[in-house]
Amino acid sequence: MSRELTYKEAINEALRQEMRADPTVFLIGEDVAGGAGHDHIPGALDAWGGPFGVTKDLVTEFGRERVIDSLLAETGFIGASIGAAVAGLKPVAEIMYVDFIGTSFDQILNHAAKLRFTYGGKISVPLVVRTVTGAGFRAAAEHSQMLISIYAHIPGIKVVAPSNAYDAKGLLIAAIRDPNPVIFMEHKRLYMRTSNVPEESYAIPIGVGDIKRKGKDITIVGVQKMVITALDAAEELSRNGIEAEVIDPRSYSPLDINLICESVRKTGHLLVVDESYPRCSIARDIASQVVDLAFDDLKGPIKTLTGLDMPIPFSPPMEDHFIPSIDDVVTYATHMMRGETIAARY
Amino acid sequence: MLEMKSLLHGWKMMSLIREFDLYVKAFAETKESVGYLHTSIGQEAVSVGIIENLREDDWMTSTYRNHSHGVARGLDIYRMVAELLGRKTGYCGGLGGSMHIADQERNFIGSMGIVAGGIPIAAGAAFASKMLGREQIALCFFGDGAIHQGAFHEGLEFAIKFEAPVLYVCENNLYAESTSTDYHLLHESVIGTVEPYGIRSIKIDGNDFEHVDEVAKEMISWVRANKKPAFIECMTYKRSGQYEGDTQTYKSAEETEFWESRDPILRLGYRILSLDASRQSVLDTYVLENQLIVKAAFERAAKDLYPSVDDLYEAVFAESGAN
Repeated sequence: MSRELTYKEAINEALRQEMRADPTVFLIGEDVAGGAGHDHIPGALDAWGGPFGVTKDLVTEFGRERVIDSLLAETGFIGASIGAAVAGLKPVAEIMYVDFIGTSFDQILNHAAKLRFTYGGKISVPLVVRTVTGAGFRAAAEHSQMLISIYAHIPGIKVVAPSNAYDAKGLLIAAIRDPNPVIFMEHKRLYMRTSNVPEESYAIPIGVGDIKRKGKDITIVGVQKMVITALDAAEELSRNGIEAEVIDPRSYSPLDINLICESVRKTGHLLVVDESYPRCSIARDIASQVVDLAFDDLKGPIKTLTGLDMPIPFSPPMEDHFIPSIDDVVTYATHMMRGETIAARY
Repeated sequence: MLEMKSLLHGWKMMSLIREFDLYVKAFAETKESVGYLHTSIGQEAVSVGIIENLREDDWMTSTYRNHSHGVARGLDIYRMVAELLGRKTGYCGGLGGSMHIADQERNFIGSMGIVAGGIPIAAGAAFASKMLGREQIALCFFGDGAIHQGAFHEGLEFAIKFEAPVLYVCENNLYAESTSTDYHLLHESVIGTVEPYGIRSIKIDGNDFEHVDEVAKEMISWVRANKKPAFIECMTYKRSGQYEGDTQTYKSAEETEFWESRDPILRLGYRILSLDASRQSVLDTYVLENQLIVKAAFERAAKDLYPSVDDLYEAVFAESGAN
């Protein structure tokens, strides 16, 4: 049976179902339960469930032994999660905001990603790192980034960033069951969006993209929240006679580049929309791979529509300007279809 | 006090480590590259004294200065050499090399290229064993330079806070790369940094095999019984320098001479001979045997195949069957 769930509820359900099914799965992170040390106060247990309440109610079912409030020390608990994964557990660690990766990066870059390879494929690190991405929350420069490309740059870790509740549940279940390290990115502005989510447990294979809207005229690849922006833009474009095909890669390592190339073969036009910074971004990576693999199928230049080449500003109208809008997507796509040049946004 | 049999076994293992490193060092100077090379010459007593007291299923992590830990853990010399030569038959299929010797079958998780990288990882392995109701502990080796990294402090805090049964062993060999402990330590020795954490900790002469063995026995069983972390600082000396090719111009002649006289193999040899002078021939035989083992390993491994490109791709990810 399926029903409407928010993205946040779908993630919570995936965690609960996997924790019920497998006693080696445990959660660890800053305030994933909340209120640690004050269990004598009635409101302490389950005080937070993470800053967005995503892991709410899990500590009441699984106890503090399996929903562990870590110290504010990402290197410590990410490193320990790697060790625990090697030694037979399945940790689901949470880095509260993706912006905090700096404080744990050596453990991810040099250990989680490389243990298996360096030791000749004889060891597995079944680790999931959940983290929160995205701008538009008035959270300023250090709590608003995407950083997908930083993780996707590193061989040996998988990177997943779903855009709706259905994908979030299925991909998180797949991530927990995956024998490799998986970075699972949750966009803070998607948490309250709903979609139809089956009650039963299901896994969506990591590395398989999804066509969110069929179209024949232009391919628009959206990165996480930008899938929603692209879908809204596609409706407006349709009213103007342009049928956009909207693709959600869902996973960025591995990346389903074939799905994108097949679509480009049909439409001949590619626009990649990504709210992250333009330089060395996942948008540019997708664009360059399509140039390599499907250049002859293109009827015009590929365009990337991204955030700006600067830290994310707090000032609300300026933050809104930073993030590609529905209008931006419509403008880009329309110009591309007319064969007109457009000045880069940044 | 150890029986003669144990003293001889300890000496034989230390000699095997020494002969391994000496051979590799000479090989690297004259023949094909074995990559970045960090030998443990002068530090053998710590490895053998500690590791011999582990249980077979205990977890272990090391650093790029790992040859001694591998040999002491009982790794096959031929497969260690094959790894140094980048052959498919090596412990890591040739993908790790000298800096990354490990053996998953012996729960020797890895040798980290980042000095404090293993500190939180060992804590996590010990934590997992405790959560799974197992009696295993984790042993984590690192050098004096590692104690300045955040990972050292965060990993130690994790082990303390979540009561992970891990034994941290610092091989204080007086140098962080080329920087002496006179400069880099904030206290007289490493234990000064660890003591405020309030964990059980001890500083010992790491070149005295019998003492290392005695302390290791006691600390390992304490960690196993109490399911908490503990710490040993072993004072030793990096006779070989930071890496092969290090000219070591930063050391004084007096210092080098002093530590040569405190060489752990030399000292255990004196001890054995003081108990029974007739054992000299046994020690001589061990050296010859160990030299032959290493030489034979090099000859055999040199004929082995390198890994293929397919092997590389297969090692990146484990197959995701459960999806």
